[in-house]
Amino acid sequence: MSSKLVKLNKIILLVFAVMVVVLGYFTQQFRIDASADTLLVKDNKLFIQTQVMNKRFSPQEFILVAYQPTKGELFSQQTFDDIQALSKKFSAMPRVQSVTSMLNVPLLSFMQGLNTDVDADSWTWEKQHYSSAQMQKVFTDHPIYSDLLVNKQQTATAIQIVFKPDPQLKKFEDEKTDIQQTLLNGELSEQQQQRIEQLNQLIDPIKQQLDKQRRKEIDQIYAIAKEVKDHAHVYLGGGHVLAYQLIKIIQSDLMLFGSAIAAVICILLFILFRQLRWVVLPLLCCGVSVIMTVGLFGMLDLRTTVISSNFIALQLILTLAIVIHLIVQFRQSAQANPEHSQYQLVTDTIKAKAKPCFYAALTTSVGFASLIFSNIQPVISFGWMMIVAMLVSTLVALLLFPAVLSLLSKKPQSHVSRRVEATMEALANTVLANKGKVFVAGLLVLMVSVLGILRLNVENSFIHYFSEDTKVRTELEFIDQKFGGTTALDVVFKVPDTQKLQDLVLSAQTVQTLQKLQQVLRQYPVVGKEMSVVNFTELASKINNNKPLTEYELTAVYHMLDKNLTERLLGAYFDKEHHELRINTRIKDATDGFNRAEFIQQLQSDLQQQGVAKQDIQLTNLFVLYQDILQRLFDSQISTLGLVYVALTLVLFAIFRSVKVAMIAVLPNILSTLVILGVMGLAGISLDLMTITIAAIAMGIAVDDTIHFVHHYLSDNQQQDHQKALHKAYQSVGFAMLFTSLIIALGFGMLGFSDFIPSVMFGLLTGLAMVVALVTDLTLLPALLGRFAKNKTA
Amino acid sequence: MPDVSQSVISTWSRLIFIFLTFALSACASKNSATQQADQQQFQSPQAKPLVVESSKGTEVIQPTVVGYQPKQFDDPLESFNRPVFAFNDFLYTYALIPAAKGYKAIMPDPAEEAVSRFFSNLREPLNAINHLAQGEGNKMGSSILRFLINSTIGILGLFDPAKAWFDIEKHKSTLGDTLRFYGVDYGAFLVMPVLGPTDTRSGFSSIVESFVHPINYVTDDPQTTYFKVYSGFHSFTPRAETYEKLSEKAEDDYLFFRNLYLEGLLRDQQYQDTPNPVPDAAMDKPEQLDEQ
Repeated sequence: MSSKLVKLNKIILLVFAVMVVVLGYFTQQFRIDASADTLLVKDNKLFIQTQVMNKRFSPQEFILVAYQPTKGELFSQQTFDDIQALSKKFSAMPRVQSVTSMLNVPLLSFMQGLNTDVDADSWTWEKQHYSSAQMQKVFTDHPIYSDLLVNKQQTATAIQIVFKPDPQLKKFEDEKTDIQQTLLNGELSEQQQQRIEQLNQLIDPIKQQLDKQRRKEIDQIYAIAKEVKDHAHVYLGGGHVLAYQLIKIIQSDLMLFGSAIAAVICILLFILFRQLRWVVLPLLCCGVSVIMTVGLFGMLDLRTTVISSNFIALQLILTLAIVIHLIVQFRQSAQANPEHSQYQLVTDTIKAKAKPCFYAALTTSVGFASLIFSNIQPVISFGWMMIVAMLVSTLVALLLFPAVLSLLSKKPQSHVSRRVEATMEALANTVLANKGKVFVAGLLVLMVSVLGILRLNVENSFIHYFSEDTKVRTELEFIDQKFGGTTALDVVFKVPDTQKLQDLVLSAQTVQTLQKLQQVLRQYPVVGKEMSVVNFTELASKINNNKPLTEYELTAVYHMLDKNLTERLLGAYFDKEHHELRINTRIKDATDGFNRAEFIQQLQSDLQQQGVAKQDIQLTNLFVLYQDILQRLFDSQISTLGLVYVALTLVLFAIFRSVKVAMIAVLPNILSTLVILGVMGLAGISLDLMTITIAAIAMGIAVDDTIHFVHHYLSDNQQQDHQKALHKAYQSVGFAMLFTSLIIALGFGMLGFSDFIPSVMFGLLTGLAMVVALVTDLTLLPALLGRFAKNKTA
Repeated sequence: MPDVSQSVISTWSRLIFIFLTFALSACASKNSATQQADQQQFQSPQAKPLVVESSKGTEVIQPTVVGYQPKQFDDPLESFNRPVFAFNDFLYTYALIPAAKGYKAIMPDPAEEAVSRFFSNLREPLNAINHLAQGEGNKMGSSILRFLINSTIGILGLFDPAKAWFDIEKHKSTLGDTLRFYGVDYGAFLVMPVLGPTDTRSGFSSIVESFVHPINYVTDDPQTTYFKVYSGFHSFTPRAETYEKLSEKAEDDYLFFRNLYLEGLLRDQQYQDTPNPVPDAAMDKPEQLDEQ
């Protein structure tokens, strides 16, 4: 069959050319979806709750622009002039609803005593032109504006640019939330499911458009901010800025490191094989695989998320691995049979390697397929994507590679370096002579790895994704550490019936409970700015000569203030209809040594200590969502890992028809994955959204090597004594493994120079996975085979 | 001049009535010393400092909003108060509120403020006397100085150069404050005709003060009465809208205004020692004839 296929080489080439063109066209439709919802299970309750709260309190989208004077006082004419100029320009942007700064907010503390008959907008700097000293005094420990408009240290001030919500998007999303809300207490009906699908179809294009628009706006804001760079540092902050920076750095990393990795791989291929064709062919295969896969994803509308964003790198690795195995086999055939024609050599190669390559693809696919049972949407789609990618790579390597190779002229193949051969031989001898020691070493490594795994944790600080000395990191960290934090965490308090009193908007007991809850939040240094109704009652009490308001006065003030004003001030913190109060905080994401899981647990218990029933308190918003999804990913990784091992063993059994061989073959794979996780645990590297799939990747890499080795050994073992068969496997498969590992480890090692920490981690950990797989498959695997799979019938 | 005599008669009848109720309530409250009463209010669960216990330690913070127990809203005069309240409601709705709106519309804000300052200046001698009675020498001095400066340089008190140029703060003090200083309880909640919610101690205070008010020595009747009526009306105007809106929202507006008044009173009692008390323009206080 292999010879027939090789005969069809021209047709195969043609078919691939057509497919590349067609699928190449579809690559345009391929999308990266970096939004938070992609990370969630469809029926994630926490997510729905957050959506419900967002609908109820409708917090607005905003960007913070922090202004830090390079010299002189913050409260000065220069600052006032700059802020005015910047505000004016920001306001002129079309989607901007309002621009809030220290110059246009009502400074009610200037009032003498509490007065409801107030035109809030007349108490602003713009109207009254307060002096610098007055401004400084007013903003010192201001209950509302401190850390919102002026930081506590009074070194910087912020302009808050609030954007108009898209009415249509809001309408669709509200409807979706309403439907999803039923999920909190039951199942969705068929009809509801369909409606949600429809809504998603409607929401999607608006969101995409909005994302584009946002990126443009942020560019614009950066450009405007440049105008004051002579007097001040300007920093941008807020969730959308973070997303913008993330996408930007990922894109530039793709360009820079994509080419660097390609260059390193080319050079290494040339050094190892000394022929241009062995550089061009692997690259061709990799290129065609990636284009076809991306095109397929575009066609099927499979979107990559943060989790699956490294599928290209993975596919490159897997394609390269197969192709290098083929090259090594081809060269060995060429040396063994110098009289064979090119055509014959190709046929030989494919004959020898088609099976193991196909098996390797099958096992890797099964490994990734087990991700489908993880119950987490992005992990599931990652599983599917890798199956598709694996299939494409295998087809390309087994069809396109021989087709092209058979068309090339025959060239003499140099012998592989004697030194490498000798090393390999020495290794084989040592391993086979010391099987017992190898087992003990393997066991030790396993134990240490398990120890490390027990110390594994999940953390996700987006700011820490950027290298310490980068400008982006400095900017984001400034807002995070000196301006009230980054990631939103909400505490929603449902007023119990016992606290509701006739005629009162809020009873004293309710406000005091809220005050206690908020005080608990204030006790945590990682909690940045917190805002709730309490900040307003604090201000009111401050204006009231530091005397508290009575609950009736509060009600009176509430009714007396202009309806628009109350909505503007309190709407985001108080839902009168549902009797719910929201404390909105921003968590200081970049805090060193911040243990998120512990924090949430501790906070929950501290909040409940304030005499509040458990069901009356809810933690929502991005911070909890990310933590929750991460924890789920972690748990699912650990649980699917078991599933992967079982599935792998079954497939290995199906391939090799022997329980013993299947068990032997699966062991190095288990060890490789555990070592990677163990090293992470020991080195204190937290699993995050980017590295969470590393175990699956390590497995994908290790299984390839294992199958080739075992297959080679078993097929030789039929005719020869098992010792010889092992040595031959070392010389053939061992070479290919060594080369693959070397090329990929060094290539991806380039990522170590990136400014994007997840890239660095991915590069280094992938390199490590390659090396670990190489080591286990060249030591533990042969030792196991030599000890337990001696007989020929095995 | 029938309306003048009427006003004199009504003033007298009010005075007698208030005196009686005041005496009654004073008797009643004699047994329970004020301190004890204060203690009780302090013990109200919604008026205590908040103790926050968490894994980070224990902290005590001041509440920003306080409430008092319903049983502290003893209302012995309810059967009298309710009809008066209903009468006031009628009066406000059909006469005073429309008039106040018109007045506010006509009067420019600076003029309104000047009038407020004028009346406020006029009662500085009363402040001085009350400060004296409470042994507050400094505050008495500043009241006298303010009166001298503002009446002359400040053109009859229309402006406040004492504060603006000499930085002398205003310290208002009424007979009610003096009585409280000497341990007289506020007595009972009282709704005065036209003037609205107050308590027997403050009601007594306003009546007495209206008789010894400096205006009495500056002008003769009927001008004095006109002045007083105008002053009362002027101080009512900012409250007109408040009254209208709040009575619209409340289910039982008598209870709402009573609780609003009494909680404010109890709160002030509990937090009397705060620095720099400035008279508040809030709606919880009965604005007496000479409030400003």
